[in-house]
Amino acid sequence: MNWRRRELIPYTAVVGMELSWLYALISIMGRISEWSLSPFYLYPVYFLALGFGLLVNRLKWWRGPARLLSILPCLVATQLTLKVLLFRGVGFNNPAWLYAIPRALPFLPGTFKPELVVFTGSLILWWLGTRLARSKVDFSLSVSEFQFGLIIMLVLFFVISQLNQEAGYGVPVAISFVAFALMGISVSHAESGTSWLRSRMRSYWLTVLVITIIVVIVLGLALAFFVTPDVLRAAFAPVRWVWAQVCFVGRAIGNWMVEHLTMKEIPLPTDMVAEPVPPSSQEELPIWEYFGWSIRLRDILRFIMMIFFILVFSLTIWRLSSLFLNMLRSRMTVTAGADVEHLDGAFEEDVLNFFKRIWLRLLEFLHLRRPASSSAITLSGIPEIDAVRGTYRDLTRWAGARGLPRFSFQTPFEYLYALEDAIPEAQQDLRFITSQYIGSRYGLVIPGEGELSKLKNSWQRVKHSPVKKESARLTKAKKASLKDGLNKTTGDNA
Amino acid sequence: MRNPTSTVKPDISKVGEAASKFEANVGKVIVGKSDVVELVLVALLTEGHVLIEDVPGIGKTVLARTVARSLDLSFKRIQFTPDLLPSDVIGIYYFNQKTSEFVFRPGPLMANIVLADEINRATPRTQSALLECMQERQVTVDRETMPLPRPFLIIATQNPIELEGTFPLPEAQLDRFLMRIRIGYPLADEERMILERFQEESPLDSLESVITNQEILELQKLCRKVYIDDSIRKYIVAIIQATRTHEAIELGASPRASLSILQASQSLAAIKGRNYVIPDDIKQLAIPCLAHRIITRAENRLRGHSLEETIKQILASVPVPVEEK
Repeated sequence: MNWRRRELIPYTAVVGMELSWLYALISIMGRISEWSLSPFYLYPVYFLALGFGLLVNRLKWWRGPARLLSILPCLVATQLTLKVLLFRGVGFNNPAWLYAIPRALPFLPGTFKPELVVFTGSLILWWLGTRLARSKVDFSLSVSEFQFGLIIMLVLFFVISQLNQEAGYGVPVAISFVAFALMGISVSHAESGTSWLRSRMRSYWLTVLVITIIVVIVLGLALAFFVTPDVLRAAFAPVRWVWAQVCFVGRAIGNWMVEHLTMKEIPLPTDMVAEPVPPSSQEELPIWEYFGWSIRLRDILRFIMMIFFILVFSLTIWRLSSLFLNMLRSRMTVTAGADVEHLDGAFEEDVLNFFKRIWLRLLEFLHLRRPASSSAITLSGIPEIDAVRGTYRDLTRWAGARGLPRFSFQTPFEYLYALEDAIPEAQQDLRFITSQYIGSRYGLVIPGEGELSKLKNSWQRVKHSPVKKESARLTKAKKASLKDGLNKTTGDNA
Repeated sequence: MRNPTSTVKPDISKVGEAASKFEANVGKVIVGKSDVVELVLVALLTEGHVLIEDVPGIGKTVLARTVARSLDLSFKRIQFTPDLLPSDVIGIYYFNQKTSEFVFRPGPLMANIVLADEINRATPRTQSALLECMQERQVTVDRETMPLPRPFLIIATQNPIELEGTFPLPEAQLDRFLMRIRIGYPLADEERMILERFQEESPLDSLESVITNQEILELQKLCRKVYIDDSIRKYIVAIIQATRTHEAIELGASPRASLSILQASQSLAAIKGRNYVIPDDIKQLAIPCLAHRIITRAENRLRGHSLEETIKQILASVPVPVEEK
């Protein structure tokens, strides 16, 4: 694989991750503002920003000023997108589309207009596109994107629940995000060193990743369905109680100061408005009304508080995921010596094998494919060989059920010695089955019809043979003679 | 029985027949030790070299001579001593005063089968002279490269008891030996037969060759075509990788070891009359092919655990590719 393709896959993965969580974000913003168009309509801004960023990268001494001034093409792209999506019928000479965003801003935070969806979405898309253009996509960036996107996805699920919106589209978005994340992480990791998808720890890592996917989706759905405003109200009730007590103490101190520190002999001018009487404890005014704050200020402060809590929550998730990923990486470093040595083209195998495994598991789940064991080779199109292997499998199961299991380190011949000792009446049949199996399994030797029939009869005889409870130990000479006899048999059958 | 592998591979039975003739012929001189003879034949067919580590008087030289005589190959013996120079082994250019030109006098290395007796007595400089010829099958003297005859087999010996005044073979050179063999003492019956056989005259003197030089070369090519299933390759790799992660092993086997076992297993399967390799072949070759390439930890050696035991532990821990229950 040439280097261009090798770099393209991680870049595609990052683009996929970012556009996945952006889809959810823009959808939520759209629902708030009654935006009727699909988020896909805003995606051209992302690719425009990416192209602009790549162009800037080619500039050498103009790069710094070009990056500083990149806000201008960003605003131009935003305005043009707004014009195309919301002001299609308005001519270019009509300034309505130019002033749409400044006119929509004062309505914040009360009303979130569609113009602001385009504005916010375009800003974020432009920022992400230009950032990707100047980033080197490696393993750490892929992981950071995954962490960042994970936090955003969790926050989005939370917001969905707060707005009592349907979370159905969140699942395909989450799956798409995780799929791109895994592709990018696996390819970039294979690019940087050992190939974990091909290593002895492959099953371990795949299990961890599958569990991560399930946890992300379940956690997101749980957030969306269970963390309702009522639940949050109940959860924050203690905080509200503490805040009420703080306000009560503040009011009490203020009243005491007014009562004891003001000079009562000085008469008040008649044209002055009397001081408002502090309300009693049963008639508690909200704090912003007590201090005379405007509703707009209240909304802004509430918005700031919400951002603050989201930041704290995000930092917590970020920290936890960093710890988790660092733990995984340190485990990978410890077992690095056991990994398969890196070979050229291994990362391509990583990606292809990863998706191939998912596809094969899906086929097995839908019963369109027989489950593959870790050691068996699927020989499609050679039913005779499958028949021999199936018979041997039945033999090992049958013998195992009778206290003669095959140990994993035993070869078929070694297992044969144990079986012959325990089932002396069926020695010839056991030898025949074993030799047929060895030929088929390791030599792709296709048995004829006569041999298949003989195999079947041998198996029937073995099944009905008595099994000795205690088997005698074979002498070395007998083992050697059996081995010679078997080699002759396998030689004839080759 | 149809064998799809036979459509692409020639008849391997020639190798089995030749091996039977060879073993029977060698058996006229060497009493017992059929497994050792088989391993030497495997090394020859794999174009590898053999290191025999055993006490003196066990029949190492007789074995090498018998093998050479049975195969109609030239045989040379080199007794390694501390004062042996590389030129004594490889050869030297000397000035012929009559013809007034430099003439190359080949050393004892220019033979089909070379017995390098007590190789660990030579200095590292002389030992390293064998490095090129073992790997590349050529020698370089005064910037002139000369190919060695084919087939080419070095049977090196070393005494595991007398270590004073010896120079242990470096890892790089040990890794170039395909296998390390221990002949071992004969059984009582076998020793009695040796006394009867060698009482009057050596049976080696009347031994005739049963396989020609050209046949050996053809058999070597045939062995390379023995089928190896992908599961067997994975099994080999799993064993080699286990040597690298075993707690008792300080230095595991190299990829050259994997290749050695792979090719040696092909030869062994062919000798046994099979045109495919089975896991038993791998197990049989594991100790000869790996024991000399592995370094165990000091505490393991102090506890008296041998390399062979460690390798057996590894073989017992790596699952053999068979149907699952």
